[in-house]
Amino acid sequence: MNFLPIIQQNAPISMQIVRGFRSSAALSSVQSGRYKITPKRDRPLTYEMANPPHFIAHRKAWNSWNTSNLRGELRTAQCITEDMFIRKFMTGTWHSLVLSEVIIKRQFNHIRIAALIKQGISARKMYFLLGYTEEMLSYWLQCPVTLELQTVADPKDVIFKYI
Amino acid sequence: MNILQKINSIIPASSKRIFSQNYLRLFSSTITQPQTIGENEIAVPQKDKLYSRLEIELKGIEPEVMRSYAWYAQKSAEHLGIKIGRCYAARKSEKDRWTVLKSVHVHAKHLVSYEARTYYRFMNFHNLTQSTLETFLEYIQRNLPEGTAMKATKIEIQPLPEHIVKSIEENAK
Repeated sequence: MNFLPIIQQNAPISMQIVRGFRSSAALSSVQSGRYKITPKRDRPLTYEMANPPHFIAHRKAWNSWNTSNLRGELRTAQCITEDMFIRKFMTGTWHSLVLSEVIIKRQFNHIRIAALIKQGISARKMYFLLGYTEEMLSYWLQCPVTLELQTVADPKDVIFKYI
Repeated sequence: MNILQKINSIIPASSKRIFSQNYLRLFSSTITQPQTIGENEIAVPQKDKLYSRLEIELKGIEPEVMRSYAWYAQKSAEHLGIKIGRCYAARKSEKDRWTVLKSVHVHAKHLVSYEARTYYRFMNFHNLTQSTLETFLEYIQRNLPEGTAMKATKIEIQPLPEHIVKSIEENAK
């Protein structure tokens, strides 16, 4: 039985190209970015964690915004390593205060870092950490760096569901 | 109306766009080169270059973001009185695909495919002077969203060289 559409069935054999696709339960098993259900159902997940990676561009957006992923653009590897460093630095400097993923946006030379921060320390200390982070990162990355932080009073506000 | 006044009238007072405070000093209507005659410096204004076309190519990952940016660019060109040419988007994106092994060691039957898409958009603007082009391009580029790349091609009109003009005149005689 020829399963091709009618237009293609009448074509010469060289044009009856069939693209194969094979899939089974074992072949399509993925584990990345997924969290296991706990017996007590008390593990908190944020919206980002609750949506696995196949929902990027559907229910989620990316965490890093730059032009290095486009065809013919430069500095892919450097952008990636810089982003990894920025994320580690943010979680380290604002220790146990960062509640969301760190979002990094680059416009020309300018790096903008956004995150949700818990109100765990006084405002004065927050301002110091803000200036410190911006200053140190701009010296290391040799670019102007701006932090655009939003604080959350109750950490339970970022929890989307319990698993 | 002066081009600077036009830009100021477009931007609403409550706008929160990222915009440098020093943009005014970059926009000059004429380029002057000082010429010293004796002790006095006399500023000799140089003529603006003329451009027949400014072509802007946009590359991005999100077509909706680029569509909105193109609308913004065309609207600001309309307000500034710049002639807008053909503006269009490529129907399909260019895709870079990699199919790699899923596992670090063994299991060659299990592969994973990754894809990176690049969407394209094009805009053309016609008959600009040097100062208009520089001003407009500066304004557009400062509001380029993250994750979008722009390539601006300027096509200049120049007068024919003297020796060619002479030979044409001689041939005409």
